[in-house]
Amino acid sequence: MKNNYKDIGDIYREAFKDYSKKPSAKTWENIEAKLTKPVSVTSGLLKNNYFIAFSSMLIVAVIVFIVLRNTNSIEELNIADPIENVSVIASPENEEMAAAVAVEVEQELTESKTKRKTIEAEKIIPPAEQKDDVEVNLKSEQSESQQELSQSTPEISTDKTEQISSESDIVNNDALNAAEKNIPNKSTTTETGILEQEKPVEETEKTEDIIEDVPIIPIEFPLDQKICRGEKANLEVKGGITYKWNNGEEGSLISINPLVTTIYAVTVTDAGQNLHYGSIMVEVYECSPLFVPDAFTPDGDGLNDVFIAKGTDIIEFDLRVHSRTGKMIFETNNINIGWDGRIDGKMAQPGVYFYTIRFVDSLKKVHNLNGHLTLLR
Amino acid sequence: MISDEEIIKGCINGDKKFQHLLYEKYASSMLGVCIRYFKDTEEAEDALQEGFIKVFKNLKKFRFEGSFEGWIRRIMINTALNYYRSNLKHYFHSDITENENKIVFDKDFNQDFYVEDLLKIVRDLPPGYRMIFNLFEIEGYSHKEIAAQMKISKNTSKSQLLKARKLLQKKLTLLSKHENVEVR
Repeated sequence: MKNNYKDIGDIYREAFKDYSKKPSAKTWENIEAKLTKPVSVTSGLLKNNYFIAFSSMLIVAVIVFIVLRNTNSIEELNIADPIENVSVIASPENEEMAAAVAVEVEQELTESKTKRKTIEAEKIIPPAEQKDDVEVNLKSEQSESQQELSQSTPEISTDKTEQISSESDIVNNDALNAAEKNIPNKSTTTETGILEQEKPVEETEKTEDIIEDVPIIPIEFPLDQKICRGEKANLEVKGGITYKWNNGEEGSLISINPLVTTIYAVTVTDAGQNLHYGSIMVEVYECSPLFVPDAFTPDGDGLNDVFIAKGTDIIEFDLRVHSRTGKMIFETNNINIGWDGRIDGKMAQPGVYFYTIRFVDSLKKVHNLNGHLTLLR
Repeated sequence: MISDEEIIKGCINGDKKFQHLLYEKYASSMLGVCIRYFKDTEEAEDALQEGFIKVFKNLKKFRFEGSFEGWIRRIMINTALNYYRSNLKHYFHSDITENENKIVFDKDFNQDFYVEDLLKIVRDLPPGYRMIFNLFEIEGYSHKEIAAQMKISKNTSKSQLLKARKLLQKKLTLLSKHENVEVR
């Protein structure tokens, strides 16, 4: 030993040469979120813009409708009510879906008609053009009289027929007076009004369901593991009823022997039939036949003065030492030669340096090692 | 074992598994580096997070020359330096030039410290002292480099290091005597 006492810098350098601390899981989650953000943000915003535009349109439409309704006669109110009933059943939340269903089911034809009209009302397209767009059934219905309409839909209740007839009235009005935009608007409002009413109801139902189903049984997943190649590892999940692993196994405890770093995913069903997903990364390391020290003290006391790797049955060997800045300061192909801590004959600064080692073992397998070393005074 | 090169290539292709692998491989040792630069672990984790995002965004620029660990470590230290610079405008007041004598402990002094104690003490240092001590003593930066990075003079760096070392030694002496460590 060179001294009986140590320099405070040496104490620290030595203590922290390999100091590591596992970050909280939250750190990776944050990084992952930021790495994936750019894509989802733009599409999310776009969707949001459309959503805002659409919902504000709905709100305006509803207000217009309420005002119009109030000013209109009681008779019209009575006609409007059944429309609500029909579409509550027929039109799903999604407008597009509603459109698709509407084409198939005859009674919904009326709905899609109202929609077409909505679009028309906005674009101010004359009704003649609109007809071309609509499916054959729709076309015939629209072009034909009120009476025929009610005949083609016999299963619809009298209320509905009334509704349809009132609508075809609107169509006729349209045809006669395309400038009168208020009427198609009215039919829009009926529909949109329904859409608005419908959504909150379904949402509250859903949330109630979720609250009831929240499981209190904790599922315990194993931690990520590090193993040497050829070693076995056990992964055990606790607290579930059934387990399904991505390697096909179905037990709560699996024994694995991966040759490369592998991520094991497991789906666990708990007592409440809820699904839990977990994934465990098993890192496989080549446990090397070469020993590389992580620090050395080139002070000439004969102890640990040279940074040198120790190994047996090494066929090929290449050691490089780099400085912090990435500059190569030492290289050798001889395993019996190490770095004496000098750069161009001058003593290097104490601190952290980095090494890369490439070697071939007796089985002709190529290994690449890298790490850091600390030069101590 | 997947080599760094494979991991890096996977990350450049945006493969999440490789990104996670790279993180898992270096996160702990890099937090071990960051932690010395901040008073609390939460801040250190913030810096680690920011550092890793920089690593992922700049992976393409890594030219496989030199050590990858060294490259990541440098990014982490630069991130810590950025934090320091943005949080502190004017810290240094005096510019005293003193002889840079080696500060050593007595022969009888108990030198077996726990790493956590050493960590606590270095983290309790004023930010400027902490930065310089870490860069000079542990990373091996020169005063010239420190002066450039921290935008201070070389002499300031030297004198602040001396003060940092004195303060650390005082605290460690107290610690070894099991006295209150909270002394400035």
